[in-house]
Amino acid sequence: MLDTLLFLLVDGVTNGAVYGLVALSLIVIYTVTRVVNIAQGEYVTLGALSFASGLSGSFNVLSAIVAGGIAAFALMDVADRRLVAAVRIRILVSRALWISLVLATAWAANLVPGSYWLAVLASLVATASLGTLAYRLTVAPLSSASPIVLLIVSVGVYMVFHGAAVMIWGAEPRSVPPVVDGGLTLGLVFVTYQSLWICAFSVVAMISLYLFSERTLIGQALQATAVNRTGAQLCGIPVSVAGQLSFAIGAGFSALSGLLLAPLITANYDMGFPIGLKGFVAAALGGIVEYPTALIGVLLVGLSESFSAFQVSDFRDVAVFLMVIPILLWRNAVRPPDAHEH
Amino acid sequence: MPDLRVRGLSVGYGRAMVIESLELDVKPGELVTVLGANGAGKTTLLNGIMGLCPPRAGSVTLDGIELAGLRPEQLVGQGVVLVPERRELFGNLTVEINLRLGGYRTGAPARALEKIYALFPKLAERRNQKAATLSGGEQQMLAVGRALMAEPRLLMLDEPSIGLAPLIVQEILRVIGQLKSEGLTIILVEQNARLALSVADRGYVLEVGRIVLLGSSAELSADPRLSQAYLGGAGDYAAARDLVYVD
Amino acid sequence: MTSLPHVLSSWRGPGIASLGVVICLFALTCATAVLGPQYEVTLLVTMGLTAIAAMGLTLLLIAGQVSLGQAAFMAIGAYVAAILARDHSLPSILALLIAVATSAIAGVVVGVIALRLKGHFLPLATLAIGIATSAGIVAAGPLTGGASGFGQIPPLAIGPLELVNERAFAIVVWSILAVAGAGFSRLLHSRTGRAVAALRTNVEMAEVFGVNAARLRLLVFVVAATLAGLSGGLYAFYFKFLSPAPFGLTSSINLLIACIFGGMSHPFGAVLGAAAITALEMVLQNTVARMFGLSGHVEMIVFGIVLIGVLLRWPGGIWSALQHVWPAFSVARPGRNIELTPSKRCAQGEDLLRVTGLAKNFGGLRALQDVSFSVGADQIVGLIGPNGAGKSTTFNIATGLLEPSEGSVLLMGVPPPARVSDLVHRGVSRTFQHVRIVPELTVLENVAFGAYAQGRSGMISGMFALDRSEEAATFAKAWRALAIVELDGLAHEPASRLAMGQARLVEVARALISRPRLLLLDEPAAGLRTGEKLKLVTLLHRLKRAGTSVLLVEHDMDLVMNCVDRVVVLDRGQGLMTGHPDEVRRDERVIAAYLGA
Repeated sequence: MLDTLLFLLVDGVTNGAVYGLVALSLIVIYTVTRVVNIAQGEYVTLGALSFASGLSGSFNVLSAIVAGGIAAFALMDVADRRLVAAVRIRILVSRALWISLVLATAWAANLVPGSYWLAVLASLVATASLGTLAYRLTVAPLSSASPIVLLIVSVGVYMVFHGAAVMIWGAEPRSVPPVVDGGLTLGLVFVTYQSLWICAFSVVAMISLYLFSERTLIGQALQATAVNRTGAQLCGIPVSVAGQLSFAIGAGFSALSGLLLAPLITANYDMGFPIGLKGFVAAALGGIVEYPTALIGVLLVGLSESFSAFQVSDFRDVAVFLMVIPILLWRNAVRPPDAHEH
Repeated sequence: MPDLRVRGLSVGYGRAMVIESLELDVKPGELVTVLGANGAGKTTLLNGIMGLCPPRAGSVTLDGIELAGLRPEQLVGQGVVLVPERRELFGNLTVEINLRLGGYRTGAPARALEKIYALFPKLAERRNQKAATLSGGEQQMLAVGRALMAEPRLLMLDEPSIGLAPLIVQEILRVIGQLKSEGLTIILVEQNARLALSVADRGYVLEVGRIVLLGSSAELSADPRLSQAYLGGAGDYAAARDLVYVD
Repeated sequence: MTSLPHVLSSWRGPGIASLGVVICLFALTCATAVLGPQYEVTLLVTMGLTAIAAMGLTLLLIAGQVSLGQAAFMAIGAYVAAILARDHSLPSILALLIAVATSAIAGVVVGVIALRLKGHFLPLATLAIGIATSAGIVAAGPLTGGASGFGQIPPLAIGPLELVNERAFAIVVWSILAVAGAGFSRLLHSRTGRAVAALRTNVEMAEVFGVNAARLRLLVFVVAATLAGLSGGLYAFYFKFLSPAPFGLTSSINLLIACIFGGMSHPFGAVLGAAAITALEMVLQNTVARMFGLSGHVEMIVFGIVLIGVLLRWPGGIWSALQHVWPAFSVARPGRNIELTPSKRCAQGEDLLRVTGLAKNFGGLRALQDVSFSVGADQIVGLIGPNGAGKSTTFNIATGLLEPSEGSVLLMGVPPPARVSDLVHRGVSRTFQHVRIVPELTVLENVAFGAYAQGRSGMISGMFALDRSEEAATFAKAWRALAIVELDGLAHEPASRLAMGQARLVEVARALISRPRLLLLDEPAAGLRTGEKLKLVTLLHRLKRAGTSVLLVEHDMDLVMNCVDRVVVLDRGQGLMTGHPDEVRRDERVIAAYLGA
């Protein structure tokens, strides 16, 4: 009995850690840009699938598309007639470096099939860059729109990403190896190394994100952009860059969770949405603007899922979601969120 | 030397033009004030120069460099800084962080921070308090301090005296005067004409989006057209009180 | 007196031209239903049913609530109707009515629980309910047919008349939609509509003027649930087969897409959105897939691109793109003038407001300590003090928005009402330090808000134009109030365009219209130039002569000292002194703390 309990606990914490990375992504993006990113799950999918491509040594379509996108934006930015030559050159150089990074990592992964870390790098670079492109294309032009419009636009982005994932990689799931095979026995329960990696990554990600936002000027500038966009502009903070950065971080973290999870459930085009949904529930339960309390939300979701999956009854899904209501009521009573959120 | 020239500036929201074909000059080291009633376009003028509301037509040049069409962040990089009417502080961040963020472009050196604290001792006392917990006057000081952290060549102030106690208004005025004497070029938008003309070199009066009056502060103070609407004295209030309103 | 020009000039709504467009579109729809090919009829029915549910959601969005679970109410309507009609042999029309009632009741239950949740918790709760309902239907297999579905649903019938003809069904659906659309469109310009618009951004202000925000929010939520239930029930009787699939999270999100795509500021936006996405899906399925011979995923990509593209260009949805075609809504100015006097004069010598030993702590911060003063009949009292002295806190406690930590407040001799919305009935009104204007309404409508407590017409009267005389009276008062603050030239401007000082004057006008005995003004002169301040002083004295007392927070000393009968000075949360303006002006402590040289 106890070993079952411990097993479920480990399972729940692992699940929770995965949702945690996705929840973090949602929080970073929401706090800086006010977008509730329904498309977040797709970064999980794209991260996992491009990782699978990189491992198998096949051509990484995503990197190519992303590089093309960066180039297109670069041309658009440089065409601005008001700029002086020095600024234009600076833009061209920085974008060229960025494009080479994307293509070089993809090419390196291509060259050495089976190399785990090269494939990881290529996947993360490509997906994070994709995030910035999504921001520039679908969020930056709508800076004065209401949050609900931004939410629906992110649904549109979800549709595009989802359809593209199938078109590029097909419907067949791809198996992917874990970081390290095997595991170790802690007392009564067997814990895979992959689970440990997932938990470790999540904790490191959360801590570094927290330190970044609270202790560095750039992190504080990101926060400031979220709190008061006009005020941030008047301080000279490049708010558009802040938005791109938050999307890059969000996309990158989600891609990371995707490639960590893929060994457990295989990389396939449909993996993203349920993870995104649970990440959303976890983030919202935790308060969607506070990193530390998101941990609690994440653990709740993970644990409740693994424990109820164990019951194997028809009402499993119902139970998980019905639990949300009492938790919300309790949270609302204890500390209601600001009225202007959402 | 910051030499600002505004030519043919038109700024509006949606289809409505708030200011049209405006022309304005600010010479280096001057304190120019822009007066006018509500809705005359004073805030729109500053927002247009600052890029918060992109101008539809016209040009704004600083030492020959075209500013119109640039984003606000870029203007800060050129040394043009605005203290807006609503202050736009970061409420849940501390005073010190607000100030540091003001110095984002310049790298926020500690030296600049100390200078601001010397100018506004009350802010030093409250450096670790959240900005939203400050009183109105302290928030205004923080807004001005944050703007100064960006080491501006041209400082624009939108109605700094609104909603402030008389004692605080005097304090703010003193600071503005000190900044002017240190050579900072300033544009001051104000409702309180008496206050503004007491520190300004020159002034413009805006009405329904156009400049209707301009001149040195001495000339404007003496102008009869201005005095009734803008410079009324205590006696007028007594008269207003007893006015029998005829329907 | 009911000649056509007169009727037209007092018409309120988007205008005759736009009404003509709506009628034409409706006629076109009916023509298609009668003459078009079969698949187009089914398409029309699908569009219509989606639009009915979406319209309810739009109303919810206007009130500032986001629901991700509307499909759950559709499911309830559908399954209850189907089960009652097929397995319990109830007449189908009765089954439909019971189903709609069940959705409404479900709406009440969910609403009471979920609407307590502020901010982003509400969407999450409705999301959870939606998914739980969907899963519940699958789980309750024996009753609902589970995942395999529920078929052989009898047709909709009233007595012996069976609605078997699909074309007739389409016309019935669109007729319901037309009535609902016209009703909700009219509602937005009525008393209840103004209150709903205020819920999104200005709940506290709305309550000060008598709106019971919790009840109104619940009402809107229940209306949305009822419409969704109606849509679901009709769906069951048209398609005669139900499964959980069309009532899942995807459908809820589709409804939301329809609302935003079409334009969330107006009920017709829901119709446009529903029509657009249904048509778009169909076009994509038939043409794109056939043309390129590709699988369904290309459609998804194209749909996403269209959705993003349209919203990038018109964030307000299709409706906002069409808006410039429609003439602006305007209310004609009434002929006679109305005087705005307080609703009840109080007894001589009665204190309207008496504050004794007031103290307030916020955590460790002592905001107020031992503050006492009173405002009697026919008095103007000024409350002055440095920023942070506790003036706004005092206001909030006096009007019952905050509880004092110690001390007592008596408004007209009794403690402030427990509910803020009862304040206006006591004859108390106020303005706010940070301007509270509803940006979506015009200036005139904002002022008219002040008369909310004097009105009675609710949602039904608003929808079916039964409130004409009340609205006429309300707007007559609003014009009068605007004229008094000399802003009547701006009556039809959107309130978002006002400069700060003008907005403050609009707030004063709004407070006036509620005919208060005691008026609390929080920095009304901030942002006004001298000429305007003089007019404000004249206005305040007129009010005093007419029987309204005023408690005024202000920083302009010339204005305060020359306008008020008594001055109360606060400094750092404590009462410094109370007295005649001349005494206060000369007091050394006051000069040191506040006035300066």
